[in-house]
Amino acid sequence: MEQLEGKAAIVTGGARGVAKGVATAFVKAGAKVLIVDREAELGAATEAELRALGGDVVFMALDLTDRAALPGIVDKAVEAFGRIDILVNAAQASRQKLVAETSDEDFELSLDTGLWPTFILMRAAYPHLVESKGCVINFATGAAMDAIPTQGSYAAAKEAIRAISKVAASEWGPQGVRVNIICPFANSPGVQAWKEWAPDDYATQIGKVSLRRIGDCETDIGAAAVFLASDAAGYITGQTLMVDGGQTKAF
Amino acid sequence: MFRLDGKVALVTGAGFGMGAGVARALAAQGARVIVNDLREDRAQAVASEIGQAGGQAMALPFDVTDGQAVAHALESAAQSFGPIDILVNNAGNAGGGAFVQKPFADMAPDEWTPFVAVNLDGVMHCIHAVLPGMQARGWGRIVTISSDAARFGHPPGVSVYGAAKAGAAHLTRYVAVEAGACGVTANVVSLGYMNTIGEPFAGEIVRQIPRGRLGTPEDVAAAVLFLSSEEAGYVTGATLAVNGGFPAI
Repeated sequence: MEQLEGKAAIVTGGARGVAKGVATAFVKAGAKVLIVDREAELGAATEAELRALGGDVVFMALDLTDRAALPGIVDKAVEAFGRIDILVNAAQASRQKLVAETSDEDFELSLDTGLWPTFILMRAAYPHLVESKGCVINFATGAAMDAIPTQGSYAAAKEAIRAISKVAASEWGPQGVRVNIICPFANSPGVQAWKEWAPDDYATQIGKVSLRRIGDCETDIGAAAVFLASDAAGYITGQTLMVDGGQTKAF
Repeated sequence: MFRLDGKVALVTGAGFGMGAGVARALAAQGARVIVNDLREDRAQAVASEIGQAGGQAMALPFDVTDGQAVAHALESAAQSFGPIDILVNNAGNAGGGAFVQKPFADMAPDEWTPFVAVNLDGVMHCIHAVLPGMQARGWGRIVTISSDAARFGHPPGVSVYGAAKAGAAHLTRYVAVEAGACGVTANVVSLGYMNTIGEPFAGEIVRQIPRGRLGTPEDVAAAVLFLSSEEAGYVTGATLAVNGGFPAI
């Protein structure tokens, strides 16, 4: 039996990048997946691609900054699959700026696309996760632990996500609902773009990664998410799993 | 996913409890398992049981605290069973002795030495014996079983045990830094309260664990299995706690 056979998942930001890698790994592991992304065309293409793998996949076009619309994602998943076993909050937008130059609007972008949707979707999905003894996987970053310049608003949103994840893990454990965090380093479109406009910086950074390579969205990050979402990981909750090739050395 | 066909795994202290659970799980995923224990009868029993279940295993009794014995045993095992691809540093507690909990101020050196010998020296001996081969072959997985006693101050009277476990965990992270470029990953599994603790103590503890139960060998095995797999090839220097959510950092 596949690891996630019979399970239904929501993956935010699933049209591309790390989130798409997770959605793809989930489909291959037997899960049904609702992918949510604001990019309608790309989302539809990803939906078609994952359906071609034989997956039961539904795409929902939605801007996650629309807080009032977020519970509709949970409704949509229940309507499509009759259950929710896994919620993956992977969507996140941000602007890389020095803290002193970060505007209110820059800061709000990080919170509105990352922290707020993560919180609201966790709250909305909770009753369904209690029913399924399901789990949440949220995404954070080693950039916060390493205090990388220009990552202020991004790191702030991600550490807030990590904090609420750990508290939720404490509160929801008795109901059988697990919450874990993955900090990835992977060849997302953002990192690929960075590689193109700053190849030397990119090469220097890869040199600092213990394994000397960039992670793959599906086979590295997606595989870790499959493990954490599987029943085998039933005693693992409240934890942060670094899937970054040893990039972050703040242990 | 997470198959280990064709891999040779060594699990230390695998004659009972957590280690035996890990050995069984690795064998069930297709690995050929070297079952180490201080006692030959225990190692043999687990190896036989794995064989009867359709897996491949051999018993290899040696004392992890004796560096020469480790090197010698692994050399002979490599000839008969193949070089080691996966090392699970599980041997721990007080080694062959009783686990006596005492405040550090009340401990004599001959009481703390065994904890350091098995939990830190033992891990160093085993990693040192297998790492050059893993690096030369360009593939390796090292998983060190540590304890939340190495990260938190909750349990009373386990200071030296916690210190030795913390030492082994951090050695493992350095191995991750040093050996990553050669395709070797090294990770730590930090255990919380397991179902091997005494019952009267357990009831009190369970109420503090979000998942509402103690950990089992199967829980530990699942984490070790993931970290030993090809699919976890981008996870290194990581610490994965298997503790039911108590506590989270």
